[in-house]
Amino acid sequence: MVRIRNLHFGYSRRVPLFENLSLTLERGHIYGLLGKNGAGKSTLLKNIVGLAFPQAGTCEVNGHPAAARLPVVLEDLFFLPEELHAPALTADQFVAHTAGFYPKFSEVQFHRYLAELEVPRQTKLPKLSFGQQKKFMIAFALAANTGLLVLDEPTNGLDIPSKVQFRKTLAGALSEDRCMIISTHQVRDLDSLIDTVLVVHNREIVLNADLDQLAERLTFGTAGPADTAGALYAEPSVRGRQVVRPNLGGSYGKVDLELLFNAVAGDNPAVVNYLNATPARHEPAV
Amino acid sequence: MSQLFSFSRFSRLFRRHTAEFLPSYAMATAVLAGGIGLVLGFVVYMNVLNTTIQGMLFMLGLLAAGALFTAGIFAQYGAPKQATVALTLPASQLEKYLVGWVYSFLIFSVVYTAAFYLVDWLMVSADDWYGRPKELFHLFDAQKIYEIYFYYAALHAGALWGAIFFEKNHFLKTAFGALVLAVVLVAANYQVVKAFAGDKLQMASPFSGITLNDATGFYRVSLPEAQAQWYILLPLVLAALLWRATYLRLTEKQL
Amino acid sequence: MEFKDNEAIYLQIAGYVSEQILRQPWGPDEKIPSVRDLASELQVNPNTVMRTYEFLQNQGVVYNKRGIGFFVSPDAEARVKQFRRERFLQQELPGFFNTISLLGVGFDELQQRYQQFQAGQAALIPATTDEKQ
Repeated sequence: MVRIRNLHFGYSRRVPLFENLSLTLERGHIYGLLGKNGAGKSTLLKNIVGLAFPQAGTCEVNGHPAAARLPVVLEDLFFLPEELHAPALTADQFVAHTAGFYPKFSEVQFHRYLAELEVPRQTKLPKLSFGQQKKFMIAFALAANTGLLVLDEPTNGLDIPSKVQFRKTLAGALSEDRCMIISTHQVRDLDSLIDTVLVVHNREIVLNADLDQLAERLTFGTAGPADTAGALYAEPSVRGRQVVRPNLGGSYGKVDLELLFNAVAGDNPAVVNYLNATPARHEPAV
Repeated sequence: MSQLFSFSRFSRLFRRHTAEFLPSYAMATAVLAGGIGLVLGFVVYMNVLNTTIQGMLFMLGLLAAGALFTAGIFAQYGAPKQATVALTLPASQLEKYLVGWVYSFLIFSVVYTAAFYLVDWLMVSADDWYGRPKELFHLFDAQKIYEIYFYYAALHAGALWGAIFFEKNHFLKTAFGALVLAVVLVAANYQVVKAFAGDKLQMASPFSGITLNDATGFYRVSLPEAQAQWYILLPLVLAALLWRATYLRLTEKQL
Repeated sequence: MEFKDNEAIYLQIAGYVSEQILRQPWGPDEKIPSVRDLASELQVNPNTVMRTYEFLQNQGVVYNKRGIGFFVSPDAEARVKQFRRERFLQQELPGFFNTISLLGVGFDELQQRYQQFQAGQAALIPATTDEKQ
C-alpha cells in the first residue's frame, strides 16, 4: 500500500533526516511508529501523505507518488496530525462539507463512533475541548473508511477513559484492506493494538518486525545483578536490571515495547544485529 | 473523474470554502462599503463628486482593496495546522487554486463594483450638484475605466503569488515587494530608454510613450493610437504568467 | 482485559473464550462475537483475535461458517475441558511439581490431603443440591 524506497530527506540540505530509508506498509496491519524526539517520525508521516517531498528516492501510495497529491490517492488516505485545526463550523456542517470528498465515507459509522467516543454533536468545533476535537476527528477519520489511516500521536490529549474508547473503536475498525500507521511516544496506550513495530533511528528504519515474531525471538525480563550473561541489552531500573535476551528456550514472554525501544534506539546495536542475523523460526506447534 | 479538474469536486470545494469563510468575507464587504462611503463622503464634503473623481477613486479602490483581500486568500496554506487539512483534502491542486482565484479575482471584482456603485449612487444622490445634473460615472465610456480590471489582473496575480509564497504577513511583504519592483521597473526603464534617446529625455514611463524636451519644445513619441490600444494586453500577459507561477507554487508547497 | 506477561495474548484470549463456553453464556451452535467485535471489546489487534479463533478452530472448539462467522461446536464443552486438561498438565503442573519438590512435600502427604479434599467435596453435594432447588 505504501512503498518507500531509498528515501532521502532533510529540512536543511546539509543535515539529512533520512538517508536511504526503505519501508513497505501493507494492508491489514496496525503499525506502531516509534522514535526519539527529532528522529523524524512526523516527517516520515508527512512524506507518506504528500506534505513533504523526497529529495531523493521514492515514496508511493497505491502506486502513485505521494508528492503529486492526486485526488485518487487523497481520497483513500486520511492524516490526523498531532496538532489539530478545528474549522469554525459545527460538527454537522463539517461533515456536510467534508464527507463528500471521501467516497467511502459512512454517516452511520460516523455517528456510531461519535457515540462510542462520547463526543457532543451540536457544538461548534472550536468550542470543544482539545481532547473532544481529537475524538471527533478520529471518528471522522475512521468513518471515511480510507485504505490508509495515518495518525500522529492520537492519544496525546485524551483522558484515560477516552484512551480506552479509542482502543476499542480502532480495534473494531481494522479490516483486511485497511492499513493503519500510528506514531506514538505512549507505547503503553497502544501496545496490544500494534501488530508490527517500526523504529526510526539514525536516519533509517532500524527495526521493522511483527510483534509475535519478536516475542518468539527475544525475552524481556528482570535479572539480578550477577545474572546478565547472554544479555543483548541491559538497563538499570527500580526492579533490578531490565534485560533483553535471545529467546532460546521457546518460552513466551510479552514484548516490552519500551525496553525494546531503548535497546534498539540507543548506541548498542546488539539487539538489531541479533534480529538481522538469525532467521525467524517457525511458530512452535501448540 | 479527472485527476486535474472535476466540476462536481470543484463546486464541493467551493461550497466548503464559502461555508468556512463567508462570515468573514461578509464582514469585509461591510467594512469595504463603509470605507468607500467615508472617502466619497469626504469628497462630497470638500467638493463636487464629479465623474472624474468617481472614476479615479473607483480604480484606486479596486487596486488597493483587491490587493488586500487577495493577499489573505491563501492564508490557510501558510498556517501549518490549517495547511495540513487544506493540502490533504481530496481535491486536485488546480481546484484548490481556482477557488482562491475565483474568489479574489472574479467574485471580488463583482462585489467591489456593486458595492462601489451602490455607495456612490447614495453619495451622488445626497450631494448637491449646484444645479448641474447628477452623474454617475460609467465603466465603458471614453475614460475607459474598465481597463482598470486588466491592471487589476496583473496586480491580483502578484498579490496572489505573494499570498502563497509568504507564510505570514502576506500583505506587508507582497506590498513591499511590489513597491520595490515598481521603483526598479520605472528607474530601469528610464535608464534603458535614456541610453538610446540621449539627454533630451524628459520622461519615460513603462508601457507608454516617451517625452523629449529640447530647445524647440516638448515632443512626445509613442505608438499610433491603433497600436497603443494593445498596451492593455500587457498586464494580462503578466497576469497569466504570475497566475501560473502561483499555481505551481501551490503544488510545490511543503510543510 | 488485562493480559499477563508470560503467555501469548492470543492464547489468553482463547482461555477467555473457553471460559465463556464453559459458563454457558455461549452455548453449542451459538454464534460467538465476530473477530472485530471481540477485538474491540478486548482492545486488541483483530489479527490477534483471528489467531485465537483459528487456534480454537484447530482444537475443534469452534467452527467457521464462511461469510457468517464463528460458532461454538456442539461438543465444545468436552473439547475445552480436554484442552484445559492438557494446558494444566503442560503449564501449571510443572510449576506445582517444582514447588513441592522445593518444599519437600511427598506424594503420600498429597494423597492423604486429596482424600480429605474429596470427602469434603462429597459432603457439600447434598447441600448444594438443596440450594439449587
